[in-house]
Amino acid sequence: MSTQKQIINRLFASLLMLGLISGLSLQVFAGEKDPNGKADYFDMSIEDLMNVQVTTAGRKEQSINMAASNITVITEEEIKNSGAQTLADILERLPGVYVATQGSGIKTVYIRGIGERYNDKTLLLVDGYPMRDLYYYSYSPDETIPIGNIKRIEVIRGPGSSLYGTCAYAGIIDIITKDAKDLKGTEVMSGIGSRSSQQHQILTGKKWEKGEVTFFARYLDADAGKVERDETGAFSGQPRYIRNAVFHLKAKYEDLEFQTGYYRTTTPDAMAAITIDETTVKEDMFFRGGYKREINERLNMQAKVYANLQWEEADQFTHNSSGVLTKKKLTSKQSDIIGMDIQFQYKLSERNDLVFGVTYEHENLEHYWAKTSKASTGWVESYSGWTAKDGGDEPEPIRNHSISFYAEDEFKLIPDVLHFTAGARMSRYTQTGSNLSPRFGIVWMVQHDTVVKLLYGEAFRCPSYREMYKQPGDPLVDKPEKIRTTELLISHNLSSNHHLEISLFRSDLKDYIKTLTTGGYENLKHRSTKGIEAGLKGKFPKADLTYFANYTMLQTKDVDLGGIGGVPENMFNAGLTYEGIKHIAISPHVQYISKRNRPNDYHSDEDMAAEIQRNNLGSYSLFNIAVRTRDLPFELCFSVRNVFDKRYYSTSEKGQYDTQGTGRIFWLTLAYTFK
Amino acid sequence: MKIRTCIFAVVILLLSIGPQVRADSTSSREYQVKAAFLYNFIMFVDWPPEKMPDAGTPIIIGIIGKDPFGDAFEPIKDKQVKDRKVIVKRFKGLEELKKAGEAELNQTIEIIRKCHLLFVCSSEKNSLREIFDLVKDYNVLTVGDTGSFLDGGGIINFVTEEGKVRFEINDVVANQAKLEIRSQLLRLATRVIEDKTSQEAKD
Repeated sequence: MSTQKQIINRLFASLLMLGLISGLSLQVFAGEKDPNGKADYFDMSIEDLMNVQVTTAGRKEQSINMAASNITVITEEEIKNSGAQTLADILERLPGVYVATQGSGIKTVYIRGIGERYNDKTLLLVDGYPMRDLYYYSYSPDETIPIGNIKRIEVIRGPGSSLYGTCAYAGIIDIITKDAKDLKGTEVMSGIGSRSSQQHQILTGKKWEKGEVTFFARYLDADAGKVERDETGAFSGQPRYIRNAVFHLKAKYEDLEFQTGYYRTTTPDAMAAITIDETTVKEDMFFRGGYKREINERLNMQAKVYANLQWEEADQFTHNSSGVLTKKKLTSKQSDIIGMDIQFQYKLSERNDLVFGVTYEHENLEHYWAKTSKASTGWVESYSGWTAKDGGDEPEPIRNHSISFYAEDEFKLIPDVLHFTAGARMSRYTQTGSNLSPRFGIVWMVQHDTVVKLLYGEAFRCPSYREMYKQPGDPLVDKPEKIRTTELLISHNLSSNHHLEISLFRSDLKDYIKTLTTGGYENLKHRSTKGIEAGLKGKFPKADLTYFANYTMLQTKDVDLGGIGGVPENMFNAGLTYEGIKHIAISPHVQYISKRNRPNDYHSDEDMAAEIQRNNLGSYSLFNIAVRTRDLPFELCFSVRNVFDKRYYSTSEKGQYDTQGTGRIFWLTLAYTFK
Repeated sequence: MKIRTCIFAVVILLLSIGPQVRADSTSSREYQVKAAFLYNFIMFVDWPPEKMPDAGTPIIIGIIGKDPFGDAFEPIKDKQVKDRKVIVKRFKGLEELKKAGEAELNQTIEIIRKCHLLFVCSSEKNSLREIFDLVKDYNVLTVGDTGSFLDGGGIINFVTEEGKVRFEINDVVANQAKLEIRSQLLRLATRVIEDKTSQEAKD
């Protein structure tokens, strides 16, 4: 029987089994189910009711159930219980998400098998504002993004370009930070971790009748130790050394809001550190302003302006085996993104909501580098250059801009039972011309506890500046990467306390940008990914237990070259939180990742021989645990990631080197709220 | 073949899960949660003795206007608060009642004034002051979810913040209606309008 037929049969059997299980579970959980099919909100206290999520806070507030997207909400409580220290730690527990470690200690988040080293396939938003590096169009889901001020994270798996534009390709991660009204006082936290790591943070705010101010600051110093190669030839010495300082200020006054922040991160390049000393210093500063206005009872307006400024300097020093300095490479980058978005929400009728708007962005990048080598005559410049359009002779900043128009209509054929959503975004980017991203969704509440969603969306990612201008001359990359995704999602409340979700999806990726052996980039690839995600979460109130479990089966394919390497076919996560001991929450978590194939992109006889000896991509399981205090004036949390110090590996984008994943790491944090 | 297989599997799944297909639409989660809030408010509000004459008198929740709750109050049939049953009564909007004639209007007003808690739907936002005037001397806890509810003379107003239901309280109007709102509820409100004199008395 062909592999394809085997997968279909497995899929069918899985669905049938899940259908039977959920049907049976109606009997098992019947005792907890309200006979009328309602959740037991009447048994909840007011405090519990205040924690129930009734809508998302995305482009427009809407019921999570009836939103035409696959949305997962991760609450502050869940983040605290997990003991997670980074965004990657949080995301890897979700269905469909795989986190790999790259050579420089960079964490790469794959959503449904789609991801690249610098995370340019997923859009990161903070309070609705995009956060991305300009050179790579990326973000870092590691220690550079603090999680101590997160109120909630909304993760959308699937294309989101119809509302958010470039990089909302595989998914969107929207971090919503706390406001003063969410605080009970000034929260102070200090922590120590493995390898003498430490972190300290403060979160404070003040609210008055018409406004509020919130301030957050965090300092982190995580020491990875020296990077080495292990016996397989892979890079080890994780986690990487990083020093990070963050300041974030938010102010709101009636319908106005203002944010500013500063991030400074110092890291070495772990790959280079064997014979090379390299330190990269990156600084980000942002300014954001927003204004909301109810124009009349049918029409609301939201306007945003933002500016992200970045500076990066990397100093690299290479030594020979005798320790003599032989090469120096100095790189500096400066990039700015200035943007504006105006959005309207118009209630055409009681059953018809329209969202439409326009976004304008201006990008500016300056990138210089100089390399010198030590020769018998002294230091000699090997090469120097700058990123410039058309490989120009004179250094000049690259400037691009984009303008996009978007609209999305939600028609409630039967309110809260059957909704249709259709939307599209027309964008024009200087680099790649015009692009249309449509989206459609049918959401059907089959019965009170069951919602079926049929979704179709197209998204794109503009090539980054690195991909377009790293090599002198006309860029070979001149088109955006595109993706089309079709998804069927079934969401069912087995009872008031238990929830099941199953998703079948398929994506076609065209004009995927490939890294050439010459070091350049080109729109060469055609890939596809399909699979199934199944998730179960709930609680047993009498046992003081909450739990989650999810399974993902994935088949990724590179149409031109064969398989896509580095991505697992099967992933499993399960965890629980036990609160049966007074003032204590214990949260174990287990993760299973199946074996991964090595990418086929890198072909060399010499490396093929080495590859045979490197069998690092077998399956592995990790066990994490966190124990924290709760309902006390202070909060003490002890978390251990990879309790059994399991050795596991990820492979690089082209398969030319492997990197060991994070070994056992612990953190002990103490937080206190001054009222 | 693949598509047919998937569709077949989905049908099997839906049949396993949902033998009952409800023909009528149900309330949204937002209003299910708000219904539960109304039920909880009763526990934290004290009415004067004349409003609760007999031990067996049920507590009445009234809903005036275009009802968004649907069947969210179904579970309340089996519940009690303060050892009393809770019943829900629905009333047409004020403009509709006026059109129905004076007799029906007066009769309905009499019943509304007997409610312990009156939820004023957003469809009545242009008639708020009139409704408050009708019930102001009858110890009725007025609750709503429109922007100007508290300013107009309402007592508790629902707001939605970051996707969750919150509420604000006008304790001044509550005192005028001879209602005692317990401090536990006041502490949970995002905004409380209170009379400083009465606050000192409570302290």
